[in-house]
Amino acid sequence: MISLRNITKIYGGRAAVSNLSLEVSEGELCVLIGPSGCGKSTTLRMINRMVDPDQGTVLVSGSNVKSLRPEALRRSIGYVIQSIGLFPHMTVFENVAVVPRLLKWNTGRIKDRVAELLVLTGLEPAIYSRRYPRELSGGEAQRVGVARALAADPPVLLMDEPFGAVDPLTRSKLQAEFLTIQRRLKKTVLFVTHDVEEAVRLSDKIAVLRDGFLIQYDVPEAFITAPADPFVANFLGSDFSLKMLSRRLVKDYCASLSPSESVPPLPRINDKTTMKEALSRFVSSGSNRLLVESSSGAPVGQLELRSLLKPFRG
Amino acid sequence: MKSKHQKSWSFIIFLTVLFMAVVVLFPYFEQALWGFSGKSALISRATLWELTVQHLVLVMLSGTLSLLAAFLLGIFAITPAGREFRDLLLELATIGETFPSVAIIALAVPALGYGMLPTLVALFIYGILPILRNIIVGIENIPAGIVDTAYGTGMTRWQVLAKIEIPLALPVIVAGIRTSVIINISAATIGATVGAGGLGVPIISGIRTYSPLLIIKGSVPVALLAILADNLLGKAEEMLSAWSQGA
Ligand SMILES: Nc1ncnc2c1ncn2[C@@H]1O[C@H](COP(=O)(O)OP(=O)(O)OP(=O)(O)O)[C@@H](O)[C@H]1O
Ligand SMILES: [Mg+2]
Repeated sequence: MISLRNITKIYGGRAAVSNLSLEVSEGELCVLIGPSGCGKSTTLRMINRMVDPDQGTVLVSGSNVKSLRPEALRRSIGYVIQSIGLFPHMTVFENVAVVPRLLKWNTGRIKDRVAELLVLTGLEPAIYSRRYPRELSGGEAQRVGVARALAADPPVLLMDEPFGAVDPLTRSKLQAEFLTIQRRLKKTVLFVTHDVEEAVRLSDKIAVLRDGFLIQYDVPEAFITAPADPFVANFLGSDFSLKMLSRRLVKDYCASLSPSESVPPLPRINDKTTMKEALSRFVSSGSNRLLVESSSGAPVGQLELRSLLKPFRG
Repeated sequence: MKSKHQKSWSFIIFLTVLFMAVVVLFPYFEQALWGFSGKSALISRATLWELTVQHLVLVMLSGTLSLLAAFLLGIFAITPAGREFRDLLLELATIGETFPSVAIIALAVPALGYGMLPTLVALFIYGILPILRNIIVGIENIPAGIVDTAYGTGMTRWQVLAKIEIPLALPVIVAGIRTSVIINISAATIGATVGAGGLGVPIISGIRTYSPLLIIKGSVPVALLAILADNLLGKAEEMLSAWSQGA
């Protein structure tokens, strides 16, 4: 869906991106991660031609982006940046309607689409449509940014630290909601972040960059079993495998109770929580078994401490 | 760019009424006074109302042309091609403001002769500078993220300019127009020395004949006009600034 082939971008004699190749398949979410200044944003911006590479080719849906008019290309690619860049003189409705209007959709269709997107991103249209950006909280503004990027239903999304400017709790909520949206819409996403936890949580694949070079590109599990070099291991941190536990859900690891068995008196945990939270529950309760219950409180099984040790395979 | 005290509509209406009252009533006051002192022969031929209209025509005509020229130059200055002229234009705008308007009018006379034309040209050139500077600065000061996403959504250069940059820079641009108009309302009085008419006429003849009343006849309406324009455009600036911030 997106292919970068040997792209290089030079700024002032220094390569911001060096001979970088990357393939993102349709429906996949690829996270670009690396230290500040390693070329993540530049890489992203070469896809929608906000920046043109000095060498190499960029293909989106099989066509060379160089052969497309930048404006036409950008209307088919959603773009969200950290500062969100909502237009302060336009209402939430008008902000989300920007691309559909550029594409000259009729007003009825635009109205329906904006309402649909606001609902999708968790903003009640009746309340938010007529608000101005300055009347939104940081988290709400980020949602509008995502809604605007999705407005014309582009197959590709480019997101440059879209949840960077909010508090951890809001960020975590936005990530969860975005994951739900992404599972439903199956966009091809290139997502830039600094935050290893965010990368682990959202990614199908992770690309680690350093000084403009792509150091390792693989599924997250591979970074536990086979980090390319000490830099990668170091950058992802010594607690990377703990973070990886947040990709696993308790319900996939719990053993069912035998029908004859009575409900054991154990600390309880919801089946939709992550294994990372389960670990925390093991530590806090001191028990090596937890009772797994459904959201309604009905016991569905039990979780053994050693289930945390199930190996990650790259 | 927002002024500290809010401009009020009631003050603007008060100024308008005061201005009209001065223009309409001054001749009666003058007549009564001259009639008393028997110097009515010195009253200039044009009425105060006519002088005011002449003055407004000078300011508005030159102002409209300045605005058009400033827009063309400003938009050129922020294009990649105009980049190298940008600093020159900004510098010119700064130097221009320290250059007395009398001198520009004096320079225009040999080329264009006496009458309205040299004054119009001088006011036109003089009026471009503050507007031009504010167009450039106003557009350049829009947060980069906003302009970046505007391009990111697939707007063309002209769409970004028309839908994002000009609307967001409008309060700053209007502040430039305000400066330009106020300067030119007072600068236009000098036009009287080269036969352009306007409210400078009684001021100049008042200076020649040592007549304070004539000087007041011209300068009070000019001052009121400047204060009125300042308040009116200040109000516009305030409203646009609220609008561009989403209110
Ligand atoms: N327009 C530009 N002109 C000159 N240099 C640039 C430009 N854009 C980026 N650079 C340089 O290219 C390098 C990579 O920048 P880039 O913005 O891609 O980094 P990044 O990985 O996104 O960093 P961060 O995590 O801080 O956002 C940096 O050294 C930066 O200074
Ligand atoms: Mg960046």
